[in-house]
Amino acid sequence: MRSSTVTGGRRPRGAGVVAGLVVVAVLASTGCGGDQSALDPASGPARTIAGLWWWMLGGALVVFAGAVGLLVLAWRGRRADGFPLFGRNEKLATSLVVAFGVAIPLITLTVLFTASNVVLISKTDAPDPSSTAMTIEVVGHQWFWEVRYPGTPAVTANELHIPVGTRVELELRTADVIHSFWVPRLNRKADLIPGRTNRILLDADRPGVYRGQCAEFCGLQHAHMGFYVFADSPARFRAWLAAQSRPRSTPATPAGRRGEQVFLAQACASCHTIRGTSASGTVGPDLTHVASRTTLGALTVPNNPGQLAAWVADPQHAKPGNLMPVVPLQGAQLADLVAYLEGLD
Amino acid sequence: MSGLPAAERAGIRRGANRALREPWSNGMWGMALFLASEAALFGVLIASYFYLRFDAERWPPAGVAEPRVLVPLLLLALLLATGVPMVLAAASARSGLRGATVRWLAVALGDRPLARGRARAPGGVPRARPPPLPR
Amino acid sequence: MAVDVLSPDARRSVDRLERVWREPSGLVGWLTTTDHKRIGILYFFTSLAFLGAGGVEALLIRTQLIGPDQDVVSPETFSQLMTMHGVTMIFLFVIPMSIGAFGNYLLPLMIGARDMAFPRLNAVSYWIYLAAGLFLYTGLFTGNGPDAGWFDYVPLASREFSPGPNIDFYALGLVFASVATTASAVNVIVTILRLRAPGMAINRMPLFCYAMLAANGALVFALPPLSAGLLLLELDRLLGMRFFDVAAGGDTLLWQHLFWIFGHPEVYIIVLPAFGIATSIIPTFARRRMVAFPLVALSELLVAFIGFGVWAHHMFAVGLPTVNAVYYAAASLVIVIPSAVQLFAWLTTLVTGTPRFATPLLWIVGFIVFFIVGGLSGIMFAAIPFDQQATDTYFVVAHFHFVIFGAAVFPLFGGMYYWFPKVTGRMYHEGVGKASFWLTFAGTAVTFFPMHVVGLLGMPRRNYTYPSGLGWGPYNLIESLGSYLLAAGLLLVMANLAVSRFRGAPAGNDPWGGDTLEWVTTSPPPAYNFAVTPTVSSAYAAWDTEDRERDARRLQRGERTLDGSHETQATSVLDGDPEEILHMPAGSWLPILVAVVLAAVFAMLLTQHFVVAGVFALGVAAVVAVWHLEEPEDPEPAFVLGERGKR
Repeated sequence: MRSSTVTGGRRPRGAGVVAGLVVVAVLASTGCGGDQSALDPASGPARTIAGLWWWMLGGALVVFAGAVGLLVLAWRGRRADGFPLFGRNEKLATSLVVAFGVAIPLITLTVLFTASNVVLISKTDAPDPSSTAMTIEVVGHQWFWEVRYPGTPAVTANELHIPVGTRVELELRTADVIHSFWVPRLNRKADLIPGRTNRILLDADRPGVYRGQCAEFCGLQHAHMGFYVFADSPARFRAWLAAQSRPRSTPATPAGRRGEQVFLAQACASCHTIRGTSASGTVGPDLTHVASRTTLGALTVPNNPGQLAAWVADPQHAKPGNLMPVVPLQGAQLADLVAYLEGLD
Repeated sequence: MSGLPAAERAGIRRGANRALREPWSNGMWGMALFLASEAALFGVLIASYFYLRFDAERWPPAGVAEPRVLVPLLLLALLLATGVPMVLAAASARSGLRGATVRWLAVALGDRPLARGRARAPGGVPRARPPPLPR
Repeated sequence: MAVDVLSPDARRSVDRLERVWREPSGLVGWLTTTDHKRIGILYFFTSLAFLGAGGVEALLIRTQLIGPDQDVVSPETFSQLMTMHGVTMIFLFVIPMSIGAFGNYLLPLMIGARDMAFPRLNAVSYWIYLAAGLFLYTGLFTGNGPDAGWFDYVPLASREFSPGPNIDFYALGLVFASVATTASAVNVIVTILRLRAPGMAINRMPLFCYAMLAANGALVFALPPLSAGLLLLELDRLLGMRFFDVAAGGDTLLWQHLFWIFGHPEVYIIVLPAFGIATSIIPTFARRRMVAFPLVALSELLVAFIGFGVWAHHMFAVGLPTVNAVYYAAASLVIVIPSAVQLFAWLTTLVTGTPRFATPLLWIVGFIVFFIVGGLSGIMFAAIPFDQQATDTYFVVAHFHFVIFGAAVFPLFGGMYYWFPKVTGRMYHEGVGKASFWLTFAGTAVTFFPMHVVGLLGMPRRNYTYPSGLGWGPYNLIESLGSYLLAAGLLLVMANLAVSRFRGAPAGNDPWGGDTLEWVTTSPPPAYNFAVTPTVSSAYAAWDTEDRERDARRLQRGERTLDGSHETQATSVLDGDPEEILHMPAGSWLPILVAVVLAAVFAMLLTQHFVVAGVFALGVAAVVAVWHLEEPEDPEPAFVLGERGKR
């Protein structure tokens, strides 16, 4: 029965310790920063969650080290029967299983549960409407974000501006499939579900640009459904909101005026709204102040004349599968249209 | 049950006891597990109905007529009603009471002449009730 | 066990057993087989093929993501690849491999039986599985592969947003596959309850059997919610109903609830057989009994049971009422306890034993390490605020790959090495075996560990590309290189086993000193598994030398050989007292016929020829009716071709 002819194998010690060190080293060397990093919080809720993460990581490293330690012990004691020091002791073995398998988890997990799901959750839960200073409505579409400021005519897309240090409530809805609004540096994610309105708090500590992305697979271009949250000083915010609330800037150049005619005559007006004209389509994003935005296609490409021309000429190139069809335009028409759109600041 | 001869009643009781006390065959276990899975399926579908119903603003939803439950309820009553003679038939069969088994099956199927014990022989001459089998 | 000193009676018995249980050779034998060992081997190679397919899908995904803004595959192709990767690995690889291959081959051997409780149903399960897998891949290969993710959320999966047949392939393919899985679950449960050897009371069966009982018991109740959801989805898609349409009184989240009521138990179903394999390998290599055997057995059952109460922890971001979400988080933490009990039992057994770190045990050590990592990240998800940051990012991708690949699949490779000598009669190459382990271990760590980091740096999952400038590039590069390393490791495993199959040194009945009954019989086992029905008096039957010597003496005298026809012993559920002799069926064409006609039903549903589908469904019913003409007691079954008819 014991006629095994195979030899035991090498078991490099401390492989687990190495792994643990790798975690810390990687994080330390590359930094936890980044525009979309959950580990670089810029608001209260995000900071709460990041703190929770570091405590849990610490606990996890302790458990991991302990378990790997037991494996090392098994390797080193592979020729000896029973425990080191205690020898053969079934009662001790069973007690260890009960202690580490039942008792210690019961205690540590109760602590974790209470801390995270009873205490901290109040900071990340949907805010009480009475506790917030303003409301923004966000509607998810395949594959862009419609942003509205109730109480004003302002409608934009893929960029939100909020005043710094203000509790802003977002009301999240969807026009089609499930999306998820996620700006990690400011808060956790909240899904946009048909028939429901979910709410989330944005309260940025300091001015800056915070990047977010759709976080629920919503079809072909889910990967290109990003957005920016600009936290401005209150004065800058008010100025921005006032500008966004105005109807479109009247085209100042002849090219711009011709461009507006192209826009209204072609298919553009059936999908897009430009306040102050007769264009009132709702399939695509509102373009009233498109020139004031930093990107096109929900953070797919930067917003500059070259990219804008390329986008209008062939929207399928940069974001294949998106719902904007190719509208054939002649060279002069295209140039005029781009000139017009570039004037919509 | 009270109208039956005492011997038959005792046989049915014995058959029922045997069903409860005898260990199950592979087939019984397999059927039980299959039924459990079907019960889970229907249970989940029914739960989905209640989930939609109690979450909805108006019920039935716009454009959907109120369901007509009379015919399903009648069929349900019929289904449950045939359950009783089927159980008695199974218990009779386990006891080896062939006549009783045939009679209860006939009741379940609604074959009144057979249930009354008058089997039809070729030529249409009704036969008397078959004597109970010796045990 | 020396078989050369048999009495003439014994010799005649063994000869009769050989004749009665032998199946035809060649293709006919394989197509009509009802032998659990052959069916196990069919499952093994088919699920390996699907592992290859799922692996290629993964490598394409990783190659697309090797750097920012790559153009290796189109967004549509990527959507299909990532969906099919999940569907293939879960439904077509890991469950069929662990329950269909390992479960089928080993269960009867471990409990001292000659076959599963329902041999023809066993064959049906395999052929339906094969047909369902081919059905799903027909979708992919015609460019219509499912493309809404493996959990297929509505409304994206509804007809409005997925007008093509992609989702119909998904829904019908999975319902089709679930017929096989349900049948196989019923088969496994009845086998464990009734076919154990005399004396194998319920508390004396191997822990592998507890794990199988738990996993398959859970399957019986976990598959119906999925079938229900898929039924409602197809009623919406094919017949215009509106179960998931909010405007019509339906609800989007109904799909998520139904899916996850299936989906969460499913992941425990995936991992439990792996626990079972680990608890087979550890006592053998540690050369001692499992510490706290009753606690481990109970924990395996508890994990399956509690697993039904935690599903909405996949839905913490949808806006559930907080008090509901908190309940699910609590239940998710409770389930840690039976898992931790098992973990520490394994560790204590290794510490207090005298472990031999041969290849099979190395895989189990790797499993333990990865199970801890995946388990710890899983615990973090029970903290709702953290879940709401990390869900739908690469952090969760890391978590589930550690628990599914690291914890559920590593023991499968360990098991392949462990039972290779039993199945083939040859030994694999130990040096290459160890190398294959280290390569795979390194590949797994390098591929999946950085995903924790890049997820916290903000990278969502299921994205076909990502921009530069967010710091994600270096991590993705490492992960992709790791995936190639991982693939190399797996190829080395396969190469080792394939070459050793033909050139390995002969292994005896029991090269490891195993504790369960399969090691008592020859390598490979004869068609009838055991000439003498074993009697058992502990959970470590192969280590009970008195019992085994008694069996050997019975063999010499030709007693208890059950050589009348295809016979095996059935015993009572709790005590293992002999109850009846079962007569098993021989090979048959009916199982593969059922699968073919059922495939026609689903193909007609897919193409919306509902009346024709109904006709084929009647055809299935007809085949099943004919099934009952084939009486197992009959030594000459009605529908069998080939040598079997001759006695």
